[in-house]
Amino acid sequence: MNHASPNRSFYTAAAAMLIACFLPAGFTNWLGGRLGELTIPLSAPLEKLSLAVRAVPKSLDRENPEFVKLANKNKEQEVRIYNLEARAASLQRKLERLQELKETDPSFRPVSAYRVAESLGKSDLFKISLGSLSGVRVGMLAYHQGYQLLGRVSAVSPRSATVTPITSRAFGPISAMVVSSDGNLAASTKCTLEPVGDGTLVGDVGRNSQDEASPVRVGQRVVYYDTDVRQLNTGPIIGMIEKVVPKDQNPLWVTITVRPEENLADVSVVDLKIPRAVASDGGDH
Amino acid sequence: MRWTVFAFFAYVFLALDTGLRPMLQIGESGYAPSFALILMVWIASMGPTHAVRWAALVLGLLVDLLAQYSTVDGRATIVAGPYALGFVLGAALTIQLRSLVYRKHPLITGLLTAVAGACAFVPAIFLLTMRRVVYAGLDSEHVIIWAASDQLVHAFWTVLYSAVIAVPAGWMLNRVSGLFGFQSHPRLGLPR
Repeated sequence: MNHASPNRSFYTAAAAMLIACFLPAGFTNWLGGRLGELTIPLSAPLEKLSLAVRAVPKSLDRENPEFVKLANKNKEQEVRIYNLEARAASLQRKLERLQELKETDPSFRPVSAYRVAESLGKSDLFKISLGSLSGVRVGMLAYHQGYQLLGRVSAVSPRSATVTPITSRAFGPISAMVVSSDGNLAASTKCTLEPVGDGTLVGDVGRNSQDEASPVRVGQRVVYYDTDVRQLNTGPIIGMIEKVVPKDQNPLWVTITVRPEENLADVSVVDLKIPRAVASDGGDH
Repeated sequence: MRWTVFAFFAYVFLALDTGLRPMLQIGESGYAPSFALILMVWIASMGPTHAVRWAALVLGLLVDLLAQYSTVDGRATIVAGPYALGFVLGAALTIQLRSLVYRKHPLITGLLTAVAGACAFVPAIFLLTMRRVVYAGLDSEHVIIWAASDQLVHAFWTVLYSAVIAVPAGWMLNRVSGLFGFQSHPRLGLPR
């Protein structure tokens, strides 16, 4: 009889949990957002450490001395090539960033947020260090280094927000445009890409009548297609085409596989464009 | 059981869950251990029955509140309850099994994590699947994007990985078990 009351309260709580499984998520979203913010002081440094460890290249342990000698020689050559490529890529990015900043609408304010926590369970969602108090709203696009489309804000609490990456199946179909090699707008082709869950996006592209021999090539850039994007070359980049497969059923179409230029799982800093009016309303901190 | 110590460890283990995932996940698969599950199993193997049930419910609820699911309208949502109930069932199984094993051996923590983890995750996946079915039937825009088969595969690897991590984690928790203030039965050495 002594344990009747504690047991009853426990079973009541368990029954409440069972009912909560089927309730709309308004209150739990609010509560979960606050709890997530509470864990950020500890999870943020752990996340930073995790991302730093992931960035360390995995070294191969080979015992054959001849292999080691050749590998070292190869490594030296690779390093030289990588340095040159990295320098070229860096200059290219700077140029793109400058072009983008030049074209940026002054009514938007670029801000950077840190990745501070991962969502539990089977999802690619992650949390960033800015929330509604900084003007972040659901539906905003998130970028990496200002030009790589990273994802979309899918939930917001006062001091943190959840981002769904473009490579997550949950992101859904993305309107995109394959930019022609010469940047000619007329020769660029619209398509719809679908994330497949392995870090790439796949979609079908129609052959362009102007260039029937090879309308779409590996290495071409694919950008996010949005009516707000005024100039094609300054739009956020989805990635590069890494595979083109002709469709058996329809010879006028090919299936392309697009991979973002950065591994989005390793990105630690996220850029957002906050409308200035929203930022001033929200009490920026 | 000292609830302040439990709250501190729950906070640390949940932060480990949300913070260390990029480092501990296997490749790009997303399979990562659940530290909250390990803590639940360890407490269930050591603590008094009534406190264990509440601890499992609270831990499961905290896991629920930190897990987000994408919905068909492009938002992320939180569902309270599935893991809370799953963890309670997992704890109940651990309570039944703990008298059959030498609980302070770290390998036992790993073994119990594997068994109790399966018992905790399967009901949680079932409840989330039911929620999806109900909301899809109502044609709601809050239907979560969810494939039960994918989730079961994910849960299998998560439980297996957690069981491996539970061995060192169990050893560490055994070192600090005095902080929790568990009282043993005077004759049997079992929790009250």
